[in-house]
Amino acid sequence: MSQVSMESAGAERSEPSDRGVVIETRGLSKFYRDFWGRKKVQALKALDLQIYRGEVFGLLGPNGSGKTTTMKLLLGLLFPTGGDVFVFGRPATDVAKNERIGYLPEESYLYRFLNAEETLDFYGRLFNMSRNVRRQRVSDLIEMVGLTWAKRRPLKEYSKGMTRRIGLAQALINDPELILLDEPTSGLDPIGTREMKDLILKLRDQGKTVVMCSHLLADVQDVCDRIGILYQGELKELGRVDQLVTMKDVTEIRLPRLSPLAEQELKAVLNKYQVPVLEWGNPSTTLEDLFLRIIRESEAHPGLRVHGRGDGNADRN
Amino acid sequence: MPIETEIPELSSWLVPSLGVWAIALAGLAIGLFVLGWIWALLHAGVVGNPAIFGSQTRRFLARTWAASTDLVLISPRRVGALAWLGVKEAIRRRVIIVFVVFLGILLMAGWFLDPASDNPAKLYLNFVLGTSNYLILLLMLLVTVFSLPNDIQKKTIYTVLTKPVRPSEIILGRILGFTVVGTVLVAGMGLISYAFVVRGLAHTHQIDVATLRPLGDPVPQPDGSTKTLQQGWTTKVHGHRHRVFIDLQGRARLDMEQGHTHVAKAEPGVEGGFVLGGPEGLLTARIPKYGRLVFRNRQGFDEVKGISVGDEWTYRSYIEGGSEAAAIWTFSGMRESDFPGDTIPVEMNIGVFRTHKGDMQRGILGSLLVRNPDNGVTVELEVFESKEFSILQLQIPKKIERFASARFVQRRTRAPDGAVVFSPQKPAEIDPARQKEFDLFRDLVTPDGRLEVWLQCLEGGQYFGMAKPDLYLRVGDGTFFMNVMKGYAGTWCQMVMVIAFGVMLSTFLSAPVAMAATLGVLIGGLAHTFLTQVAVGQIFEGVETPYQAGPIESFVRLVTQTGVMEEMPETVAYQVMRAVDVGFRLWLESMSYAIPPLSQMSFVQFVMNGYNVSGELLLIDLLRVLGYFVPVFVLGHFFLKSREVAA
Repeated sequence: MSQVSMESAGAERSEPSDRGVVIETRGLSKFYRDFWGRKKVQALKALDLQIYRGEVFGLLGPNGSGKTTTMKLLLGLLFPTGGDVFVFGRPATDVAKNERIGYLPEESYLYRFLNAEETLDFYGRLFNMSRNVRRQRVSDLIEMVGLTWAKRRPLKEYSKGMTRRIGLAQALINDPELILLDEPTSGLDPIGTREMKDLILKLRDQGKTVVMCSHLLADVQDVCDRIGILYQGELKELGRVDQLVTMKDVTEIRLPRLSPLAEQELKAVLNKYQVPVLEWGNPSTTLEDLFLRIIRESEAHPGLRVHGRGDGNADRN
Repeated sequence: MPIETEIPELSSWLVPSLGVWAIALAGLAIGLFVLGWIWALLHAGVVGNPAIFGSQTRRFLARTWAASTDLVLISPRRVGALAWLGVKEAIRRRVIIVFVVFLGILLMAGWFLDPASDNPAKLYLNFVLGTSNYLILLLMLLVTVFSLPNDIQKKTIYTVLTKPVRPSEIILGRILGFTVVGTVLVAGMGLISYAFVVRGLAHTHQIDVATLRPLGDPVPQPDGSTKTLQQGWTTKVHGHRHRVFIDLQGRARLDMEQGHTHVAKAEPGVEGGFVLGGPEGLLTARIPKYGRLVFRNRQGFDEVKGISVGDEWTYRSYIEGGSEAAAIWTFSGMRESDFPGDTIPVEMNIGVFRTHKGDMQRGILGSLLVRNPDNGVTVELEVFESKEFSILQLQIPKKIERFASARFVQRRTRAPDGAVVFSPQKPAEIDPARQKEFDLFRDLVTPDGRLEVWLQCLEGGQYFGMAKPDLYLRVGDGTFFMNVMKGYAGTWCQMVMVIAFGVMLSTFLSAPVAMAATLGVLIGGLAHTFLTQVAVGQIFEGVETPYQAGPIESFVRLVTQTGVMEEMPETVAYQVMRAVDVGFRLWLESMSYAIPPLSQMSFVQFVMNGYNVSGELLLIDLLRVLGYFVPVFVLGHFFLKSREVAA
């Protein structure tokens, strides 16, 4: 972290706010109390936060840093000890705001004795959707999350990944404007993770606001426009991801493979300007990219895969 | 046996009940509002920072207002979805197993229930209705109290509460869903019970030819032959047999035994010459018409109550024999079209209190009179012999040709100033003593349909005891099947109460605590009459007792070995103790309103004693359910609304 040059939180204020504020918290704090009403844990301290329409916002932090507490306060599942939360300009305890919200909890808290269709139909009815709209929406969503083959099976027979998918489908049943995702990629395999991330980007492209919290930094980095980092209930950092993670004192150039001659000359030039070379070599791909490529190739060419058909980075593991 | 509880009448029940209901509700609302306000202020820390008083109060009011609007914005579709979820959950919890349990109990009961007992219908009905009642109530209690806490514990409620769902809809949906399941169970049990009782008591006899004896002398017939009356017995089935009479026309008639008889059909080929049908009158639903009861004391003045013979159970009060004392039932709305036959059956169950033994082989003699309340014409119909512990049926003919006496009788009341008021003031224009016959509806029923039926005890030193339901006119019979179903409607009402309280209590209590609390409501409700009596200090009503202390004083007396008749020293400690006891009694009294009167909702007593459950009673039950449902539902909403489900 220390190498990362930190954008001051002041840059935040230059953010164009004409897009409209979807979520606003002012001095939001939360104590958990014990039976006698004594303060036990301070889960959140004076959080000031604004989330704008159409962005993907990530809440980061280690376990117990207050991410989920914030999420629950936004949803009205918890009441603030101090400060205010507004969602779409209304207090978070107002039930009406839920018309425009989709929420995927940390674990998919669904009724395990219902099947996929019944589950989605049930949540559709909670949105007061008519039967025809519901039927259409349910079959679309089941297809979208790829569970058509299992739609009549009760959820208790589902694997974790499948449960996660149906949880996502229920969060989208009302075509929400604001989607809150609590650890969206937990429990998903790399393909599922990739699909989830693609979906989040797709939702953003549709103009929806996504708030997610996660401690899987790579996922956050891939999809989030802005992030806030929470630690022990305090907001430690807030800003655009691309600005936050840019190392201002390091320059990176990516080139096709250089000939030895060109390499030699380049090093001479750098030497001339007394630039120390921090790293020189071939970059490595991410394991995620490798994995996904192998799966894609395997789908295209079923059968025994010949090792090392890819480039040199991938072979002989 | 007749019903031995006060039967409420809608007209006299509704207005006072509505009044109490409105007052209780207003008190509850104000109390909770104030408590909530204080709690909100304390919670926000107003003690350390009085400046926030105004802002926090505004906040509390805004929240209360928002929660109140949520209460009325209920979407039927959402409630439907949540009810459906409740049904699914109940099915998943295999409530259907209770059916199996019930069938198992019935199968075993078949071995133990004795159809040869004195009143087998009562035994059977009491058993099936009672068993299914307790099974249903306990089952629904267990299903409801675990439902919401389970949802909160498994966090499935998160995905529901983050939809536009009001807590009121969750409460209503739960209650409705479980009620649907319970209704199916109650209906199923009702059908099974009906079949069980009817099949269990079905039997017939044969005429035992060997017992047939001629009765009297042979009577010559027009064709020259002679015929003789015959008397005999049927075979013994279910522990009883009936006496048989065969008349000169060759028709057989069976005596009543164990509350029923059988129809005999001549069938020449069969042994004995008759085929007997199934039991008649065993499973009945008598429709009684009740009157208002007042008493006439031995001096001939009207009284609200008769005299006490020292019985601790003050339900019946007594009239003295051989005096002017009488019990007067005034029936209203008498219409000739309601009584199709030539006579109006009067059924009565009179308690007898003897101050001397007399002839123990014979009942005490009493007299039945009818009186026109307008003109005082009174006809003494017949003298009867009392039968204790069983129903005596007499008939009032519509054309009264034979009667013991007829006279003019005035009723007397004492005005507050001590003057005697007579009713009617002047004798009737007709002289009853000269009349040869009376037409009941023309001469004795007033134009607005009132009729008085008087009962007097004829033997000096002996007493008749009665309460309002002890004498009634039998208008007709309802169908037994419908009556069993109505009996189960009473169970259904109790069940809805248990479900509503279970759901409400589980909004803020954990499952085991909610279960204990609901069980408390259930037991309190089933012992509601007793609870009320304790609360208002009526448990020794009618019995003079100096001892009216509460639990603390009782405990102190117990520990210090101070007898109940001993004065306690008037110390400060004693006064504090008394104050606490008064507080306890007030608390108990408020509980007697808060806890639904489940015992009064039950119709088991009616069904098992063979009385029709009237539509009026059903309506009262439904109103009671509604009366409790509304505040319980509202409370549940506010409790759930103010609960941090994710905490």
